[in-house]
Order: sequence, then structure tokens, then C-alpha cells
Amino acid sequence: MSLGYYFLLPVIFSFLTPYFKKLGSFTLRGSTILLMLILFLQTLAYTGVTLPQISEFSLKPPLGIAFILDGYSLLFLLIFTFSALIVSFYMVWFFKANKGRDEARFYVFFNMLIAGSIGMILSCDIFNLYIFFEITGICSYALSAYNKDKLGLESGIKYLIIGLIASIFIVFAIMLIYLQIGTVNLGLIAQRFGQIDPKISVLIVLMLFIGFGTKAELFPMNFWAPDIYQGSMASVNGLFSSVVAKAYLFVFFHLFYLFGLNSKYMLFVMVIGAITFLVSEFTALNQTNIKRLFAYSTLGQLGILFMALSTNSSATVSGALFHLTSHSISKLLIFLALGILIHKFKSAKIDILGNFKSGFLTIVLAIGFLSILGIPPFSGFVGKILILKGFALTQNYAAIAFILLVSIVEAVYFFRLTAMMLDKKRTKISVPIGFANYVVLSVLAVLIVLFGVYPSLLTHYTDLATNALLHPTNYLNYALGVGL
Amino acid sequence: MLEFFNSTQTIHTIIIIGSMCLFFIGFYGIATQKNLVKVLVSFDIMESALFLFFIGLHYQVGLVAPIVDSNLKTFTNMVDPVPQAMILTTIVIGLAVLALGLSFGIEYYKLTGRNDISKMNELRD
Repeated sequence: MSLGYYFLLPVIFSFLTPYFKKLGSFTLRGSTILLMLILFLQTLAYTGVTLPQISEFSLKPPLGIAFILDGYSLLFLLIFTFSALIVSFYMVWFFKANKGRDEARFYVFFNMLIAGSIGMILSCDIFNLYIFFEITGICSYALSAYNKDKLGLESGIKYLIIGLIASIFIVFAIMLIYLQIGTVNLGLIAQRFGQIDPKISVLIVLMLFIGFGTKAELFPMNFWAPDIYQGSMASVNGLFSSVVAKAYLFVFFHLFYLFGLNSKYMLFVMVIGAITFLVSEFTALNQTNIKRLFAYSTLGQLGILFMALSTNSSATVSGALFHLTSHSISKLLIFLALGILIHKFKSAKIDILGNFKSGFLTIVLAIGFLSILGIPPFSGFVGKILILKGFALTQNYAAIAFILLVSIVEAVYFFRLTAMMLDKKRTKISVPIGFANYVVLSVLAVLIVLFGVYPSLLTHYTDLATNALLHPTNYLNYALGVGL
Repeated sequence: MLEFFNSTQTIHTIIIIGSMCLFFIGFYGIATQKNLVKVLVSFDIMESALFLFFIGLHYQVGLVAPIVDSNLKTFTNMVDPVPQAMILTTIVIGLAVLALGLSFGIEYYKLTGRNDISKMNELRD
């Protein structure tokens, strides 16, 4: 299968949604599940072939448009298609529980969002990358305002304005790159980036940093994220946290290493990541809205990832990619489980965590919390310990101390939430959980435990990804069309 | 006098100065306006400034538009077509975002009767 189908299929399904709607909601939901299943199985099939894989359109690169799948994008492709599959199953329950919602509108934007995110990580051309960036952006704004209530529309408008600012910076950066180098092919840009006049190169880097940093929720450009998370539905939050933010993070570090900025700007990104982590975790402490709380927690985890991914040491980066995968799964689990509670209690106050009675939900939520906190035997523990081990190997003890100290702050609120769930004195109301949700949440919880107990299931892919990220020679050869 | 205006360098200078002015008009609008529609229009002005800047810098006196017709049979003597294709795509994207933003604004106005972005502060703890 050509790599183009990864975003062509969702786009086609998205355009066909009105017809599926006429055939009934079963077809609508079923077609999306089928689509995501096809994409996920196709990605699994790619784990067996030699990487990188390239699909070119019309002309050979560097002249034509090309899409490249290397080890780094394979890991993200696995995360994205898996998350999309999980969310499409979850939405079956959601639309059964909320009768009368406009299903077609959700599926149009959901499919396009997946198309955009996947396009961003496969694209080998900075202008196509920008187009997919905008597709993802537009669909996120629309999904964020899906509820069409006051809060939803407000978050949609805020997200749109932030997105406009980010896109102006990125367009400007692309224009400067084209004016300097005369190409939009990532391989050629990477080859010639060092020859640009240093003053303009700093400007380009700054523009790209602000553009992608804003979208990837990096301090100080992340003030908007909690608002957006608060106004959107829980399932959409799960998508933002595990797919959209990760897609922007992918692009950030892809360009970071491809353009050879790692030696010059490593410390800068690391410090920014550390500040993100510190500020977010402290702000999360006194939140009373559950969605905001987990938005801040997401920002904090992204801070760790930024710290660890910028280090240029393969042990740390591999650990960070493990942590990223584990964080995607755990956050998806938490947001989807919270969606059930928020639907039941019609409120997003933190108290709802203490007021429900359901052994299943308590267990899966506790697994999610403890995994993000990094308690064995869950996958978050392995991720954090690998990052710390990587820092120890490069003798960066300050980073280790910093992560451990701030994790204490994190522990405070995660243990408080867990204790609230287990508190027997509160009045408890039983919560119905649909069959689809039992399947979805158990799959996620089992994966968290599985990766925690057998990390080697995942480390194979993270090592592959690390190798592709830190030594992009193969990628560059393919992007330049050498030996094709 | 007309010779002076017909040189590439003069045209580039005018375009750089003009697009910078336009950019700062847009920036001023974003910084000072509170009406959502005006803010969105300001963003559009900023984007237009970028488009003008980029297209303008790739124009050179004596070259023609990269469109193959009866006057242009070979691929010589024309300006670089890539920026034009890029800007065309970017304009379409900008239009889509603007339309989405305005539709959000309309829905929000129907619900609350407000379109003042400084009063959109219900999302907080």
C-alpha cells in the first residue's frame, strides 16, 4: 500500500460521511471503525518491512512530493492509528448515551484530524507539512467547539486565534527558508541549512520554535491549553493529548535533529522543557476542574519529553520515546474514563472522582494515574526510569534531581485523586458502563501493565525510532532521492 | 523617472516597505481591537502582508507570470512558479480558517449576544 493512503483514505471517508449518515448511524460508526482498523493493521504490517519506505508522487524527490516512513515515524504512526481505533470504538458508546447529537459532524472532523496528523509525520516536504499542520489545526478547532455550548465555542475561538498566530510564524519561516535555499524539500533544506547566514538562520529557528512550540504546548506559549481542554469533550481531550500534541512534538524534534540544531539549541530546549514541567505541575496542584487538572498534567509530561528528547543521547531519547508512548496510552485511558463520569454527573468538578461506584472504573483510573506518576509495575515507571538512566549515563545529575523533585509535586495530586476514589465515606452513585467501554478501557489498561512488565515489547520500536531520529542519514538519502 | 520605478530593486523595496506597513496594521488591529470579527480581519491583513512580501520578492522586471499560453511556449523568462503555487494554497487555507472563525463567532453571538473577545473568560478554574 502506498503511504499516500494513510491520509487519502481518511479524507475520502470524511467526504463520504454525509452518504454514510443517510445509510444510518450503524454504517457511520462502523465505517470509521473499519477505516481505523485498516490503518492500524497496515501499520502493524509495516513493522515487518525494511525501513525507510518511500512513496513518491509524479516526480522523484527532491523535485516531486514524497512521503517517507522511517523508524521514528513508525512509532508515532502506531500510536496514532491505535489511539484513533480506540477513540472510534469509544464514540459508539458516546453517541448511544447522548442521543440526538450530530454524529456526522464529529466523524468528518475526526477522520480529517487523523489524516492531518498522519500526513504531518510522513511528509518530507516542509510546505506539505504546513498544509497537514493546518488541516490538523482546523479539525482541532472544530472538534473543540463540537458541543456548540458557551464553553465549547469559547475554546474553539481561542484555539483558532492561537492557531492563526502559530501559522503566521510558520508561514514566515517557510518563506524565509525558500528565499534562502530555494527549495521546500526537507532533505535539501537539511543539507543546506548550515550555509544560511547565521542571523537569518536564528530568525528561522525562532519562528519555527514559536510556531511549533505553541502548538506542541511548550512554555511560555501553552497558557491556552488548559482552556481548550476544559471546553472540549473528554474524548476530544484524549485525542488532543495522545495524537495532536504528539504530532506537533514529532515535527518539532524531527526538524530539530534534521536541521542539525541539536548542538546549538540543546540547552535552550532542555531548560524550556524543565520550566514547562515545573510550572505545569505546580499549577496542577490547586485545580478544581478535572479536565484542567489533566491538561496541566499533560503539559508537565510534555515538559519531561522536551527535556529528554533534546539531549542527543540515544539512551535518554529512547527512554523519552518509551515514556511518550506510555503517556499517550495512559492519558487516553484517563480521559476516556473521565468522559464516562462527566457524562453521568454532568459536571467536571474534581469531586466526581469521589462520588462514583464502579470497581472497574476505579481500577482502570488508578492504573492510569499510577502509570503517569511512574509507579511500578506500570509502563510509566519504565519510561521514567529509562529517561533517568539516560541522564545518568550522560552524567546530567541536575536533570535527574529535578525530575525526581518535581515528581513529588505530581505525586501529591495523583495520590490525592486516588485516595478520593477509594474513600468509602463519600456518597457513591453507581455508574453504568457500556460494553464498548469495558473493551476499550480494558485494552488500554492491559497494555499499560503489559508494557510495564515486558518493556522489551516496546523498546524494539523505540530503539528503532531513536536511531532514525538521531542519525537521519537514511532519511536524508531517501529525501534527496539518492539511489532510488 | 519611470525607469527608476521599473527596476527590480525599487519594486522590491516598495514591496518590503509596503508589506511591513500592512503587517503592522494587522498587528495593531490584533493588539487593540476587541471585536472578534475585527480581530479575524486583522489576522487576514497580516497574512496578506506575508503573501505580498513573498510573491513580490520573487518578481523580477521583464519576467512574465508562469502560465503556459500562446505568448509563453517555453519554460524560460518566467518567474519562479513555486511561490505562487504555495501562496495560492496558503490563501485557500487562510480562507477556510477565517470562515470557521466567523462561524464560531456567529454561533457564539447567537448564544450570548456578545462578540467581545476580552469578555470570553468563562473558561477558568
